[in-house]
Amino acid sequence: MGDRVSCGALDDRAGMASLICALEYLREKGCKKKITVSFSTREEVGGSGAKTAAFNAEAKELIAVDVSFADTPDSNSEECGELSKGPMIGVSASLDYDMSQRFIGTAKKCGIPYQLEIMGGRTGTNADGMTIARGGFISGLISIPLRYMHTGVEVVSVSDVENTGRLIAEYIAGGSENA
Amino acid sequence: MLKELCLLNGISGREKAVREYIISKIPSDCKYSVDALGNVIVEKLGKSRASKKVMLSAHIDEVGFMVSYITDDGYIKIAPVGGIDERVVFGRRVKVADIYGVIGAKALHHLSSDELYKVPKCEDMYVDIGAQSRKQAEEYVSLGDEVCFVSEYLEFGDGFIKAKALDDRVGCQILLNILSREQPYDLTVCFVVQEEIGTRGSAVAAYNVAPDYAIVLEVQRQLICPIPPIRKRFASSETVLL
Repeated sequence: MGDRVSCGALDDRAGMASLICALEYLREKGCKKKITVSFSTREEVGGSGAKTAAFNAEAKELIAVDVSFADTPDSNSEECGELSKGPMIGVSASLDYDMSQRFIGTAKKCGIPYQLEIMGGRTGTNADGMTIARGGFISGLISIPLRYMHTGVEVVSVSDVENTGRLIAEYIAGGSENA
Repeated sequence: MLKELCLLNGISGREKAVREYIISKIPSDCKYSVDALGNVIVEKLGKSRASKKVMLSAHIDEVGFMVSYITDDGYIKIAPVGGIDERVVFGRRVKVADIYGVIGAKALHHLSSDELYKVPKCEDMYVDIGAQSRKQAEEYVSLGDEVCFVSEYLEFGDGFIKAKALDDRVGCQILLNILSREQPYDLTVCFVVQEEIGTRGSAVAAYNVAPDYAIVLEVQRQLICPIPPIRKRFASSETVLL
């Protein structure tokens, strides 16, 4: 109904779709920055795919894209995002705080709806392993709100997927202006 | 210096104040760099070159909390950063970014018999900064702000110290002492981040330094067996003055 869709494996095919959106958006903007995109394997069994990709990448900053919890009638709304309210910008002890703030600044500047996801320790995503691969990376995490994670009936809002792609593209295109 | 180190606030991932203080204390004859995670890596030249590369390390972050939610009534919900003993949380004063608050929960008089002897969980407690609404609270604090214990530095008894963050500002103090003294051999000294959430900074520092030997200065629960003297672990011709 509306722009909500349900399918298995939206975790993290929705993230993949948002990255493709981001790349298309960056192409339209004529962005010339070098970007490495990793569609990684084995996240659900420890994240070894992304760690390997990060080790091999020549990058200063990493952006992990995953899904996170959208609220349902039986969830604790204090711990969840909401469908159709925009990408969830990760703020965590294990992510770069200044990078999180730059994402927030980008969203505000470009009029992209967003939510914050606060995590006291690690994030439970590929960001954890990627950040400390090789000599370490400045890292951020953007998550698409999703209901019924790890079931065959996961639900996302397509606008959240598109806005996630747009936020990432605007962040990359904007560079240090977003600090 | 230990008192100043302990009173600085620097939970995992927000170590900036501690890092800047440590950088200000690095002697001018040392070179330092800061890596992507915020580890400070200091190279100290000794009187002689060492045949093996030695790395000394202590972590600069402390346990604490982050603001995870602000209620409609202006209370601050908190997410723990690092392993927090929930027995020491209720009834504490904290600092949320730049503003003081207190951690509370239901008063004793209203506890049921089931609740009376249970330690409240972090998710059931909240920080009261005196705000009367979410809108008022948001004028002073934001989601993701760091929340640190307020704890005076107290010397007591026969040489005892009570303070927050002795874990591991004690180690940092020792490393700064080492840097300030002449050393017989070259050393690499690392002040690492994010130990309390999974020893993350040290993994990156170890990759960047690639030492032959690494010594970690940490605090530990009281041991029941004696630790062999440090000098016995090195050949007599290669010693480190601590």
